[in-house]
Amino acid sequence: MNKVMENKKYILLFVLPAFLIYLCFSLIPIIYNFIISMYSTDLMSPGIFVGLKNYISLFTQDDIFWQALGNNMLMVIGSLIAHMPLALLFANILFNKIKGSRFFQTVFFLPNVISGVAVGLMWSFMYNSQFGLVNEFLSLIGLGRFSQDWLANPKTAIFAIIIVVMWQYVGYHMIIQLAAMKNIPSSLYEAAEIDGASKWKQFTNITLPLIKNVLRIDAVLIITGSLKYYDLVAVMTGGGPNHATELMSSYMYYRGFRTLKYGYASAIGVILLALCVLSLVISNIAFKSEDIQY
Amino acid sequence: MKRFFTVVLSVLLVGSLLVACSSSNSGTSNSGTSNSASSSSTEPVELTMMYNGTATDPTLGLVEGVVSDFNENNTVNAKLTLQAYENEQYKTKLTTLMAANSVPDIFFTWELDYLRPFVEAGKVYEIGKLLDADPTWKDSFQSGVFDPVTYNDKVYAVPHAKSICVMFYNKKIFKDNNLSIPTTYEEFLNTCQTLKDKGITPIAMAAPDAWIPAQLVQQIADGIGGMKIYNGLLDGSVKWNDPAYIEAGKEVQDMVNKGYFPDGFLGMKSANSTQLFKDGETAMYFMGCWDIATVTDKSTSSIVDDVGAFALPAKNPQNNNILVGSIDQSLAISANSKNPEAAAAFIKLFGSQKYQEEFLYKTGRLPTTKIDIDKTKVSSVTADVLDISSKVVGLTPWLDRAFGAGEGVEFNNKCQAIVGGKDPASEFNALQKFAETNSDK
Repeated sequence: MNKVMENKKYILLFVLPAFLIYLCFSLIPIIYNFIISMYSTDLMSPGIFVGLKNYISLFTQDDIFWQALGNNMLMVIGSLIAHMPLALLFANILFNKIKGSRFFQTVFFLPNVISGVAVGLMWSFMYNSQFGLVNEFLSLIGLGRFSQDWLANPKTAIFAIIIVVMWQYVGYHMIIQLAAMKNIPSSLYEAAEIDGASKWKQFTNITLPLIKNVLRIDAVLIITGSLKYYDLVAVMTGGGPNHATELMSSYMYYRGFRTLKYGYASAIGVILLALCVLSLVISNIAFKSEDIQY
Repeated sequence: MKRFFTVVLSVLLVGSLLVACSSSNSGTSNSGTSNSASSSSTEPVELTMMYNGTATDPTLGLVEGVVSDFNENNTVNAKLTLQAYENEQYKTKLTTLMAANSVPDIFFTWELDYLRPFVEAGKVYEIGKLLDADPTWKDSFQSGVFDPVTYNDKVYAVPHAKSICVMFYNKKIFKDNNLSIPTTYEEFLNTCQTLKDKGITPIAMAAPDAWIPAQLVQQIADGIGGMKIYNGLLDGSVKWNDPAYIEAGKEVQDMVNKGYFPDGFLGMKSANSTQLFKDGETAMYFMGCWDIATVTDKSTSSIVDDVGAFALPAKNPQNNNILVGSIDQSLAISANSKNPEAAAAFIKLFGSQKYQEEFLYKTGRLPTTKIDIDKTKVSSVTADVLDISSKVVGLTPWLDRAFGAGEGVEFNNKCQAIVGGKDPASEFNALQKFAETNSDK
């Protein structure tokens, strides 16, 4: 096999199929998307070159875009809260081998196995103003005056969706972080135990620094995931009522497929891409660490 | 041996990729052969039609009937396949296929600004040529029905139904409460209040589908401002924040605040709100007359014989009988269809007297052709709607059809916000601002 790998031609041959697919379905569309974002086009008649006008009007004239951007930021904040400190807490509890830790692992991870559409429908029922569990629960504990139509009220709708996202993915990030923790040699903890370090000390001085690398990757996953989030919004509200739950991805879809402004929609796509790359750079700086060899 | 194996594997991998890329081309390669083949060869011409409808929609069954009739009895040696999609899916699919230049031969379409971008991009076959060549076909239609599908004096689609927005009402509830059909707007509001006082929800409505509250706002605005606010929007002399629209928004908001719509209507699925009317729990239901089929569907409705309809009285009585309405069930042929003549043969069958009658008598669709209506065969609610239709003095098409995807859809969204409690004036100001910046994107 080594003989094969020495020959550059074979390497090329093996890499080529995957690279071609990547080129056709990822790289070229991104470049094409960038090009048409400079046009005013419905993709049927020849487009008109407008330069950066789409970007300028997105930022200066489009209130819905700002709404969507704001919602995305709320989504990033909500996800970071649930999927970093909260997931880390759960992971650490399970890491310390409490009774039934495998069972809880499964329970926390379960929402990830359900399809997004099913999750969306299930929560739509729970939020329903007529027969929803949420309102029933509120009136049960004497807070009936707060019951309302969670997904139809523009003030609550986006938070209602963010809570579902927080719930759905907390187990996923917990598993990632737990796996990183399990890689740490137990001798380190034994030594700390002998020196009389408390559990909290062990967590901040051993666990946290040693899983920093994984946390960095996890942070990138969380932020880019919430920036390009789409499915629950599409299922639960479709961006409504009156764009109150619009995210950049759903607004891009609306602009492209509903109003036929494909150039404008592509500009939103480019901004989305830029934000994702930016978040990658920021997390790399924030979680700067060197590779650890045990 | 190892070396040989590697080479074979690599070739296979690359080869499979090439095959996958090329297979998509084979379908379009014979585009040049066109019509000549259809008459001479025995192989039937394959046609495809894309239609907007779901299995629960009673009209889809009738459309399937027309398709199988066509497949058995057509003289153009064609075989038609029907593909039906749900409303939102249909819109996405059609715009995508349009951009990709692979629209099926026949497709369902809405009129006015919905079809306009496709026509202007040259994606739609000018069916007017075939209509002109066949005067008996063309003359079977009522006058004016082609106007909303005419662009630059050329006809691009054939409409098969007329639609108007009517107020369905439950005759039994009205009778039990000594109510009669309101003839003025004040009487209408009094009717609502009387019902509300007796614990009956006056009007079924669902807000998550933004066009549903929007058509009520538009109807009330028509009653306030008449035809000129619609025509003014078209020629630009009336703005989206015209006082008539703002006043209409306030009227509907008022109705919301007085509790004339069902509890939780802001988040209710439209099928559920229709069901409230069908279960006799609300007294009225404002909707396009296409819903005759649904409210008189014996398997789901308990009020089949108690449904009537009236036109919503105008706030300014001189605007009575100006209704939200347009044509419907339009079929068009795509420009890249290889057999427009065969496709037209199907559309002709679709609009034939037999099927126009079937659509009228079975689902209450108002015909676009000149047929003699047998009043004894229609349900009483259809008779009401036919009566309303005969008195119409002006129709304003749904704004999301007249102004297509941009301002029209935004109008719906703003109306949705208004029934949700937002201030009508500021919402319509925002809409006007949107309209001014939307056109050049």
